[in-house]
Amino acid sequence: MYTRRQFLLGSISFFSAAQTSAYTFLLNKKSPNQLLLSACTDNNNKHYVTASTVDGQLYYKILIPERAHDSMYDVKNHHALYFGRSPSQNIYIVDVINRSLVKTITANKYRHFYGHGVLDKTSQYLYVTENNYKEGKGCIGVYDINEGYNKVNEFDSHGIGPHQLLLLPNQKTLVVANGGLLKHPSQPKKILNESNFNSCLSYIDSQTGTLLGRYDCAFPKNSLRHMAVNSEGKVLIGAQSYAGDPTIPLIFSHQGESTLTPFKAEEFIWQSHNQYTGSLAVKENTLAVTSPRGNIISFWDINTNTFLSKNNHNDIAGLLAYDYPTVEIPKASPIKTQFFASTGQGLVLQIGTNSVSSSFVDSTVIKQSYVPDIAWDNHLFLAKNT
Amino acid sequence: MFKKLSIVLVCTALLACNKKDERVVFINSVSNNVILAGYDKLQKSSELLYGESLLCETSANYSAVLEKIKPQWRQAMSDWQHVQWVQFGPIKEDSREWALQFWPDRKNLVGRKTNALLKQDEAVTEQQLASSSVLVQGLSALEFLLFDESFNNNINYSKKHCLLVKEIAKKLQITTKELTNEWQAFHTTNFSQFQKPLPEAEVTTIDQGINLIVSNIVVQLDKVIDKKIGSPFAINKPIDKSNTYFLESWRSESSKNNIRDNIIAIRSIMNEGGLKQYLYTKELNQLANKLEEELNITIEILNKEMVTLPDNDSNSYFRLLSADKKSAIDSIQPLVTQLAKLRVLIKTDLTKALNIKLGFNSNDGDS
Repeated sequence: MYTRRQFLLGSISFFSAAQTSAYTFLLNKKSPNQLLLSACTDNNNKHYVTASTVDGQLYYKILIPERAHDSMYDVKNHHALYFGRSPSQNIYIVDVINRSLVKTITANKYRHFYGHGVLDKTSQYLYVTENNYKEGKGCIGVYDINEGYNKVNEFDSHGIGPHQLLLLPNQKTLVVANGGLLKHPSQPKKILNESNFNSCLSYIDSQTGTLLGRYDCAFPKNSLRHMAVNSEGKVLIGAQSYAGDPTIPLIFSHQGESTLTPFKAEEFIWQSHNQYTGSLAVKENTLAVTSPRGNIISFWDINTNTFLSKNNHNDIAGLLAYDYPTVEIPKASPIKTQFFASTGQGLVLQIGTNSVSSSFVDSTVIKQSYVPDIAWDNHLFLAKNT
Repeated sequence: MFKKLSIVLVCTALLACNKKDERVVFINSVSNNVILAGYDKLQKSSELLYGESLLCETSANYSAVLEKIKPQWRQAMSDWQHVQWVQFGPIKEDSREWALQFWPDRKNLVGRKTNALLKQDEAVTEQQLASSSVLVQGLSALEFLLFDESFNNNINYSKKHCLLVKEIAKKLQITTKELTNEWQAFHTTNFSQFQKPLPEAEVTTIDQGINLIVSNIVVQLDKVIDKKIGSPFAINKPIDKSNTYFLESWRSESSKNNIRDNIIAIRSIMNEGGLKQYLYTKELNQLANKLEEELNITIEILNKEMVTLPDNDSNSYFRLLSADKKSAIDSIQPLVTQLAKLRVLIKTDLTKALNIKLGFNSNDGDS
């Protein structure tokens, strides 16, 4: 029986570890060509964009003037893209080979970014969630990567406050979590429509901007924010609640139904999330969800939409599903699925899960890395060259 | 001369060898003198509560038995309030935090689920309770069964009612015993091996340990100010938003006692837990003294009678709010002001002085 953290290899400080070369990132055949991208803030309140190897070595750390939020990787150009945190005007582009900031995309007049974007598979277009704050409308900015990231189009997001957006596996349909919160960059913390807002999921044709479907969140004052999409195109959505009721569902799924389907759990499980979900990641049948306000990571079965288990980690937020084990796991090991998660306490955790039964998943921290003076920001992204 | 010098050198070397990291001393003091001691006390009061409830099996006067249990429940609730701030370690395993107390409970889930058990034809068995929702397994469910106003006119409690109290008290006793035992194991695994963390350790560095303790104090103080007082008394909100049923223990009218226990618990972290001493070693004497002073003032305010009600029971926030919202809110202002001072001192000054990372993503994640 593998107990919790049996595989822990010890703490590694990213910044005292040996620097990884571009050669390692691009050409090492043994370990796949992968980097963990994340924004972070240090104890002096300085903000950075970073890349680290999956075994916890810092690859680069570049100073930027504000907090960033999510990130993406343009495999064709070896560019890491970091989206400034709402209401940022900037997207920072780092050349991963040279480890340097090569360009900053700036929002158009009367627009700001929400911290998320997505690239199509051919690295032709970048789609970014934006606020048209002059008209109080959400929109999707389309940027041509081959034309120096010029903005070439703009679609309606079909909701207010579009947050995360993803492409479905068909690579044609955008799915957007419209949080519903109306804000203006002059008062970035103030919600202008808190007493009555409507959050929805919208499907949009990425080439024409045509609305293909829109599904409102049935629970009032529940703001849909983050998503994960599995290989079959099932969309998993996480919410942040402003309803004052800590027991309402915060996780939903959608795949062709007429409404969003809430996941099922006892009220105290929802209360454990403290009205807040951070990041979502899906691997096979297991959905993982972080809740930094609940200090938990929870696991869910996407076939039955049911709760499986949860584990406690202080200020856990960044999350991604991972394909390749970074440490040798014996064949007899029950560990089937792996996730990377990061915390505001400077930890990057490699978490393995195994199905103990059809209704329970046990999770194990296989390995962790710790940086004493760093707080990892909300999201993690896996840059892959394969 | 040389002999004297060598003795001094040997002593100095020995002192250096024996000198413990003050941070580790602090962590260990909190773990042993505050948390373990607190869990131990909670376990003992839960045992006594269960002991009293056994009379349900032999006595025919169930109302008298339940009356006898009430003070014991109050003691167990008070002991729980002393350790409620600890939101790490075994309390977070198997949803024990919710089993001990489910709050806030705006939908009255505890009442509804406990009532459903009462309405069964047969008395609830130990196995049945163990497989029921955690919401009906601890102090909150007992509070409902012992104090809920719907039972006030029911002088003749049923045997089924009394036996359900007994089963829940038994489960509570088991949970608190597990908590004490598992804390000892948690301490050994996490707080005694910083130089070479054990593979199963959750806390692998001294920084993490200090951070956990201090950030949990901050979270508890926020809970007291925003949820235990701010929400029912509608602080900084229109008066019509105040709601007696948002009080933490409105059924037993012990919400005020809970808050006093919470603040006393923070003071015990200062004293028995060694926070004051730790601050002294860091030459933060002024901060340590100020913190102690403000904690004492807060407790003094809580000890004072705030409004004299006709029945002379000013210890109940529930009665205060039920009688007159405006005067209740006015009367609590000195406490609100004092707690705000305390929050600045702890959340800003203390965390800054100790370089504590407060929830980076939890406080200010998405914007």
